[in-house]
Amino acid sequence: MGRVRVIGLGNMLAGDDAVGLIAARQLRDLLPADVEVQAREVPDWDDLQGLSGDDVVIFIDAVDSGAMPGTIFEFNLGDVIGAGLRHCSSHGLGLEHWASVAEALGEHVSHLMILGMEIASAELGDGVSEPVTAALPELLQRVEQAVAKARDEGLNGKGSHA
Amino acid sequence: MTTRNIEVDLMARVEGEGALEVVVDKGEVKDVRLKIFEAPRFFEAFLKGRHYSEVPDIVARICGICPVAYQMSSVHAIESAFGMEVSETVRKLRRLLYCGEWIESHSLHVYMLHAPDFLGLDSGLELARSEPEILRRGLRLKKVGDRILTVLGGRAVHPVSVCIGGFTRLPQTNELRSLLDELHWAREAAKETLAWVAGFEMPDLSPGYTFAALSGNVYPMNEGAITVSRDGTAHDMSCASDGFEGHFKERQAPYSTAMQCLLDEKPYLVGPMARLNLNAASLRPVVREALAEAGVELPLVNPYHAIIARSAEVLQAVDEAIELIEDYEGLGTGPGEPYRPVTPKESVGTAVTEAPRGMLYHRYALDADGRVVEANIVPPTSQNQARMEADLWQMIPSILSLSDEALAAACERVIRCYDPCISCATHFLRLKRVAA
Repeated sequence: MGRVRVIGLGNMLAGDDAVGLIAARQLRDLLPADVEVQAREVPDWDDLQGLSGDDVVIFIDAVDSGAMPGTIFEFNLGDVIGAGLRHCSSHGLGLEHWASVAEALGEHVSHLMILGMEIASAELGDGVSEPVTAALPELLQRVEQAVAKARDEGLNGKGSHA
Repeated sequence: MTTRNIEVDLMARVEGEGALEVVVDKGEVKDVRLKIFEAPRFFEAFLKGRHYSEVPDIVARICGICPVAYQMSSVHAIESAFGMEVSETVRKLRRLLYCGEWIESHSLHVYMLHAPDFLGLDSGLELARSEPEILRRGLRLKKVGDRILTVLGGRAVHPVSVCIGGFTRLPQTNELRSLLDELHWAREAAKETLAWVAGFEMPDLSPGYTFAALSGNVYPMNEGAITVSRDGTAHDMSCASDGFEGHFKERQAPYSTAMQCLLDEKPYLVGPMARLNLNAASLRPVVREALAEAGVELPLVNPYHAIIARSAEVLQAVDEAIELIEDYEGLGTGPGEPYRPVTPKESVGTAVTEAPRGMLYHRYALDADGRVVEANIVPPTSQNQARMEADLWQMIPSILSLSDEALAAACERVIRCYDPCISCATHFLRLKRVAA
């Protein structure tokens, strides 16, 4: 069975943009001990290199698409590469960029998934909005389901998680 | 048609969001505006009322690429306000932390953002496709810097161990030594990088810079006097950090959310080229040798040569990191005291340190409990912004025969030489309403 890595992205000082970080911190107590959970501000090359073909990486991030705040989205590698996404983070190279480079260099990134939540505001300040707070339990549940599916498919040798 | 408006709505391969507008009328450049329209960050206002101990972690979030620089300028400014000096162990480990940031930030820019310009490629992604082994070298170099930040700071982005007076925890000798094998590889890779970029064909452009950087007994990171040179070698002016605001004045450009900083009302250059030129005497021997072998002579005065300066500083930082780690045991303190106790007092403190992109100035006024009364932060991209525009004013007349698309691309190339960090540069003046 491959490894499962969950990475929450965001900025604790940018309002709802903290949702990925908050989710990751709560997931540390909810997910099996062998699932690696990280909370960080920006995606990085390290997240996507050196993976085996069975490894699964799940990113949790804020989404700004104009949908109702609290709406949860699910993307896979195909959705991300070539989508013309603007940097999701306030700084640094975005996930689309790193995923494209990783694919071009032949890294095993096919089992990449992003669970995103539509946010109301990413203005500077502590605390997240009511819609994001209300939708957080569902987001955690979706991540738990995705992890369980990845582990189950890994155990059964199906090897397709996207 | 006699009027051309060249607009680049969203500049590629720069950090943050910015746009460029150039107006050419009857063959003459009428206007050049570098617009920064990323949302203003209001960090300085956000810092008001915060306890001094929170400041390093808050300012680190201004930038995901250079959090160490923000932490370093803030701790030095606050320690200066409280009249503190840190231990020699802490001083050296802070240099090591800065080495890590320079290595990761410069490597990212050289390989992913800047080298494609000299290779006829559109992006780092194209470099991944055409020269995968070269890009892998760059990404591995970046990772060496990240590893230093992780060992010293707890993690690669926004290290969490920096505090006023030192570190919350000092690394064990074996933790640092675990970095050495990869650093020895990095030293050779950094030499190869320098030779690689020095071989790029570069356009001629000599804008006649005024250079500003810290300079002192060691290559500047956390120490040295603010130094200005008009030819890249002679030191025409120098002052301590508390003299910064007396010489360097910020102004609001009406078309940009970022402040522009001028020296005596004129643009000036900060960053790797300024540092390298003003600190040639404190370059490590391996860097001097590598520059000589590559046929590079100082001072560097062409903005396109910034990629050479950045690559030289990667080698400088890798070589110094090796020495700092090898000497760590010799400091005789074991892990020692991680930080010195702090006694807050009502005071004002300033500091300038050298972020990867250039001088980063912080000033804090603190009350008797150590809470921030006022903060002022002048990042390097604010300082270089007017200089970028001045370069374009100078270059554009010589390339007016190009198509709009090619002219816009040429302008973007000049701006990328500066590795502008637009997110860092955005902050507004406080608005004061006066009733009639």
